[in-house]
Amino acid sequence: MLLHRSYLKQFAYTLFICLVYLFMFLPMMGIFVHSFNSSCVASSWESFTLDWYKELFCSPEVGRAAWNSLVIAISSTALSIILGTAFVLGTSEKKYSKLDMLFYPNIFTPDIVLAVAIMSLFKFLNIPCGFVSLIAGHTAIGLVFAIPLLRSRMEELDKYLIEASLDLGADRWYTTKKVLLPLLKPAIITAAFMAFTLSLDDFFISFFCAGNEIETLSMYIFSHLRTNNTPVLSALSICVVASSFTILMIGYVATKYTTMEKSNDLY
Amino acid sequence: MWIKKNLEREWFTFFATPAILWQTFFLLVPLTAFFILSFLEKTSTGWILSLKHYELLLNPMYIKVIGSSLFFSLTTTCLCIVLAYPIAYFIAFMVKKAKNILLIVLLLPSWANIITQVYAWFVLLQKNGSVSKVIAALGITSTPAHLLNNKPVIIMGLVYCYLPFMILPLYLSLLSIKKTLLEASADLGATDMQTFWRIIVPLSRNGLFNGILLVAVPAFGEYAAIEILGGGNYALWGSNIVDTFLVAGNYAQGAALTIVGIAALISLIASCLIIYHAIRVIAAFIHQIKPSQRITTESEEGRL
Repeated sequence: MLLHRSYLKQFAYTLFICLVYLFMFLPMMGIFVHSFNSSCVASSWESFTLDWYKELFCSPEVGRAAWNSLVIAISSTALSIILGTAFVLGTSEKKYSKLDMLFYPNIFTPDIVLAVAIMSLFKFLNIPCGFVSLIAGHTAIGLVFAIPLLRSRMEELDKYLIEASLDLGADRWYTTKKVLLPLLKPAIITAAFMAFTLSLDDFFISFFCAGNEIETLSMYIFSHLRTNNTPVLSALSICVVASSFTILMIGYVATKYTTMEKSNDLY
Repeated sequence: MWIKKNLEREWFTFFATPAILWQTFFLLVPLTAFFILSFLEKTSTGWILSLKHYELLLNPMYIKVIGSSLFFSLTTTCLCIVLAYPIAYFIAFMVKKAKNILLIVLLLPSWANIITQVYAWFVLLQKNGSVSKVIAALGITSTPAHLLNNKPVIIMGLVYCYLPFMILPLYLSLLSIKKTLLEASADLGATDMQTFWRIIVPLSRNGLFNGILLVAVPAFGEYAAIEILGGGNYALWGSNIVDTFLVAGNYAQGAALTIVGIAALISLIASCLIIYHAIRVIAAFIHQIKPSQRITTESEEGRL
C-alpha cells in the first residue's frame, strides 16, 4: 500500500503529519501562553498572572459584544433551522427538486458579497442596520449550509416508512411530526451546530451590517487589534476557542446520542 | 383551524415559501439589482445606460487588484490541497482507532473564529514576538526580524484558516473509498503513485471539488486576514469592495466591482477543474503502467 514500503518514506510521512499538527497548534499555544503572561510583550515571559482574564471579565464592552454575538447566533440558528427544515419538507416531491438551485449562487459568492448586498438593501429601504440586518445575513449563511445537509439526509431516508405511515391513515402533517422529524433529528442538530458556529465565525456580515451601535466579538477583536493590542485580546480569544469547543463537543455528543437512540428504536 | 384545513392542500406554500422568500429577498434581489445598477450611470437628467463603471475597472490598478486576489486564492487553494491530501489520507486509512479524536484535535484551532486565528499569528509574528526572537537566537538575523506585512505571511495565514475546509471534505470522501480497492491495486502491481493517481484521486474527486469551493471562494473575498497580516499594505478585491462601498459610498461602481469579482472567481474555479484534468492526464502519462512492470513488482514483493 501507499507509503508503506520503506521506513525512510514512512518516517518522512510521519514527520510531515506532525509538522502539520504543530502548524495548526502553534498559534493557539502562542496566545494561550500570552494570555497568562504578565508582560505585555509577547516574547518575554515574566510571571504567571490571571489579571488579563480579570480585566476581560470586568470589561463591559466585551460583555456587550459577547452578548450581541450570542443573541445573533442563537436567533439566526433558530431561524435557519426552522426555514431550512420547512423548505426541505415542503420540497420533498420530485417536481420541486430543481428549487435547490435557488441556493447555488451562495456557493460562488464570497460572504463579502452577501454582506454588501444586505447592507445595500437596508440602505435602499431606509431601514437602519442593526440586529435585524445581522440576523438576516447570518440566517442566509446558515440556510445555505443547512439545506444541502438536510436534503441529503432526507434522500437517505427509507421512503417506505413514510408510505407506510400514510397508508395507515396518518395525514401528512402527522406523518411529518411523528415519522419524518424524528428521523431527521440528527441532521437537524448537526445543521444547528453548524449554523451556530458559522454565525459566531462570521466577520463580513458584522462588519458591513452592524450599523453604528452594535459590536460583535469578531468586530471587537478586529478593531482593537492595531490600536490596543494587549494580552486581554489573547485571553478573549482563548475564551472564544474554549466556548466554541464546548459547544461543538455538546453537539457531537448530542448527535451521537440521538443516532444511538434511533438505532435502538429500530432494532 | 384554518391552517390545519389548508395545510394538506397548500403543503408547498406553507413550508417552502419562507426559505425561498428569504433567499430571494436577501440575496437574489440585491444581486440582480447590483447587476442592473452596474450598467447605469447617474447624470443630471437621471439614470442612463452606460458602461462607464466597467470602463473604470479597466484601469491597471483594478486589474492588478483582481489579479492579486486571484493569485492569493489560487495559491492558498493549491497549498491546501497539497497539505490536506496526506493528512486526510493518514487519518482515513492509516489510523485504525481514534480517527475521530485525531480529526477533532486537528480541527480544534479552526473552531476559533477566523479573526482569532489570524490574531494568534499576529501575536506570534509581531515585531517582538516569539518567532522573531527564535530566529534571532538561531543567528539567522541579528536584529528582530520583520515578519509581518509580506505576501508569504498572508498566504500562510490564509492556508492556516482554510486548511480545515479542505481536510474535512477530502477526509469524508476518502473514508468512503473501500480499502480493498487499494489492496487490489497494489496486488495487481501498481506502484504507490499509480494507485494514488488512478484510484484515490478519481474516487475522492467530489471531496476535492467541495474543498476547492470552500477554500477558493472565501479566500478570494478575504479582507480581515489580509488587513491584519498585511498591515493594510495590500489592496485586494475584498478591501476594494470595502473602500468603494463604505468609504466612497459609490454603490454603482461597487456593484460593477462585485460583478467582475464574481465572474473572475467563477473562471478561477472553472480553471481549477481544467487544471485538475490536465494534472491527471500528465500524472497518468508519467506513472503509466508499463507492460514489464507487473512482473518485476511481483518478483520484488517475492524477494521482500
